[in-house]
Order: sequence, then C-alpha cells, then structure tokens
Amino acid sequence: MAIYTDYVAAAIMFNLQILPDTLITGVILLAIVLANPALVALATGAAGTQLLTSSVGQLIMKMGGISDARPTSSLDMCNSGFISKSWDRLLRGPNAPELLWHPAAPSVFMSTIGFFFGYGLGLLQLYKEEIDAKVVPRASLITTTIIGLLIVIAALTFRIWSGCESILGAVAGVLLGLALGYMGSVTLGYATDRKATNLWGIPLLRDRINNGSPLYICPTDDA
Amino acid sequence: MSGSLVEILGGILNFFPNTMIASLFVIGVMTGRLSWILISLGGIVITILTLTAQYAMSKAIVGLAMPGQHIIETCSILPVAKGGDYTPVPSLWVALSAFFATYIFTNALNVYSQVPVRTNKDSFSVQQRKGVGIISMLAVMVLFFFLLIPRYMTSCETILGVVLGLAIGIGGGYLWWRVLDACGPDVYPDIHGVMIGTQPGLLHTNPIACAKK
Repeated sequence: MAIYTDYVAAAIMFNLQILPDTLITGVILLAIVLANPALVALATGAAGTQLLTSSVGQLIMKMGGISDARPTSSLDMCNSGFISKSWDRLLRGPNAPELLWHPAAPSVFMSTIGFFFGYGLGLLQLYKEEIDAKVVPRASLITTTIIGLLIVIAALTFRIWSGCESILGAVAGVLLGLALGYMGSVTLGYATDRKATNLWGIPLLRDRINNGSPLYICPTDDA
Repeated sequence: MSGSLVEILGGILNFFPNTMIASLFVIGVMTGRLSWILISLGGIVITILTLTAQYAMSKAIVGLAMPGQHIIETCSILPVAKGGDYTPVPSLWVALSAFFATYIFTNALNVYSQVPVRTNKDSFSVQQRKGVGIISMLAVMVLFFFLLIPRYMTSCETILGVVLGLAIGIGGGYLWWRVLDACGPDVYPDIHGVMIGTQPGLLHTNPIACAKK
C-alpha cells in the first residue's frame, strides 16, 4: 500500500492541486508543437476566464469587506497556481501572499476547469451536423463527456474537501466557467465559420455541400 | 514580476512531462479527442516502465540514488512523494519528454510525407497539411532541446540517466505511434488532427457516396 499512498494517490492529489495552470500551460505548449491555432484560442479563453473570475472575486471581496491575505507555500493544497504562482500573484509580485477569498466569490480554480468542460460541450453543439453524420463517433463523445463530468466533480470535491473553497464559491466558479466556455466556444465557432474551433480537424459537411462535391467517398482499392 | 516569471518558467521546465500527460488526458476527455487520451496513456505506460527500470538499476548498482527530501522536491516531477530517494538512472523526465517529442515528430513526419491519392499534390489543402507537418517537426525539436539542455544543467540528471532515458523515450514514442497506427491508421495516432480530413473513407460516415463498378 506504500506505493499507492506515496506515489499513485500522491500523483493524483498533486495533479488535482495544480490542474488549472497545468492545463493552460499544456494547451499553450501543444499549440506551439502541433502548429494548431485552434488551441491558441482555447488557451486564450482559459486565461481570460481566470482573469475575469479573479476580477469578479476581488470586486466581491471589496464589497464584502474581506481584504486579508494569508501566507502559502507551494505544497499548500489550496495553492492552485503553477508552482505557487497564479496570474493574480504574478501581477501582484513574487512575495505577495495568497488572497483570502470571500466565501461567495467564484473560485478561479473551478471556473478554469468549468471553462474547459463548457468549451467541450460547445463543440458538441457546433459540430452537431458532423456528429449526426457519424464523422465523429457519438458513443465515444458521450463517454468522454461523462468522464469529463467526473473530472469536474472530482476537482470540486477535492477543493471543498481540502477546505480551499466554500460550496457556494466552488459551484459559482463551475457555473461561471461553464457558461464562459460554452458561450465562448459557440460564439467563436459561429464568428469564424467553425474554423477557429475545429479541434478535431474534421472535414465540415457544409463546405462540401456548398462546393457541390460528394460528402464522402468509399475507399478504393488503390487508396 | 520577474521573480514570478522565472519561477513559472522553472515550473514549466520541471513539470513538463507531467503537464503533457495531464493536459493531453484532461483536454482530450473534455473535448472528445480520443487520440490525445491514447497518447497520455502511452505516457503512463512509459512512466511505469521507467520506474521499474529505475528500481532494477538501484538494486543492481549501489550509489545511484540521490538521498534527501530537498532533492525530490527540486528534481522529481512528483515532488509530493514522501520518503525514498531520487533515482536519476534512467531519467524519468528525459524518458517522458523524449517519448512525447518522438511521438509528435513521427506523426508530423507522417502528416508531411503522406502522398495524396484523390487530390492534386499542389492543391492548397495538401500544401497546408505539409506546412503543419514541417512547422511541427521544427517546433518540437527546438522545444525539446530548449528544455533538455537547461534540465541537464540543473544537476538533477546524469549522463547515463539521460542516455538511457533517451533510449526508452525515443523507442517508446516510435513504438507507441506504430501500435496506434496499426489499430487505426491515420485516426488513433493523429495527435495533430489533420489526417482524419484526408481519409474520409476510413470513417463510418453517413451519407456515403459510393461509385459502383
């Protein structure tokens, strides 16, 4: 059991702790090495969600009368920043302590996770025609959506169980992130004729219909 | 500001393999990218293989391990592990980084070198695909060496650990791409999400326009 507690459980806990910044960093790195502009839009949206949620939180803190800060270390379970630094602390300086959030302020951590989940749900709406035409298998999308929901629930439970968020703040963060992710994905998709959101790289049926070319053809022997 | 930035860049360097596994899995799940999930699973397989090799090497050769919790916190991609020693041979960081670099490079080479069957080779879509392939190959090589050199200079690595890590990572990355390609050519291994658009006949699509002979 030592391997489980020392490595497997510790790995899961550590990854949950730094998940938001891991995801944003990962998407930026993948956008560079895969030469994929759709990932740049995703990373920009996630970073924007963090900044917006942080601003809303600070506004609520000013109105609610909480302006205290508390010292944290990089091993603190509540420290969601990438090795102890979040966007907020990056802007406030290297030695700035973690802000004590108002219990009603939406969680920056959960809004980031909610954003990615909402973005994925937006893709299901945007590419409905292609999914209906079985370009992307519906069964695998349903499975990944359910697993994605479980990841959101796991992150929510981790933050509340660690005492890092109030239930209200965590749920508000998820809902805010979900709304921003879904709306951002759908808006960007329709604004760019679904080109800037095509993470799957699938051929768009509408283009082929408009071109008058066959939607799909059977593989030939020489293909 | 600059202190925070240095710490963030240091974090990206230290946790790069962990970032890749977690991002590919979670974003793959959230956005329904099956190929990304399969690649992250490959990363977990390489992790298990490398940790097993580390255990065997530490038993076979005395004096390989670096003791101390501060070494684990500085060098390990899992700094919360309590107790034990940090074993740099073979290097887990190098093995995983080489795995992802090799996998992406192999797929980018495939994206670049596929000969179009039904499209003119000079068409815009083919040139665009080739462009993605070559940019990706260059980007992944530059990023890999940009990270590997500072990592070696942190004193967390040894020459033997780096060489063995490269062997595991490069071999593993190429083999994992081959395994996924054998399971579903141009669909499962396609981390770039480009090849699915070039092989529509491989998909279970509806409607299908078949030319009967």
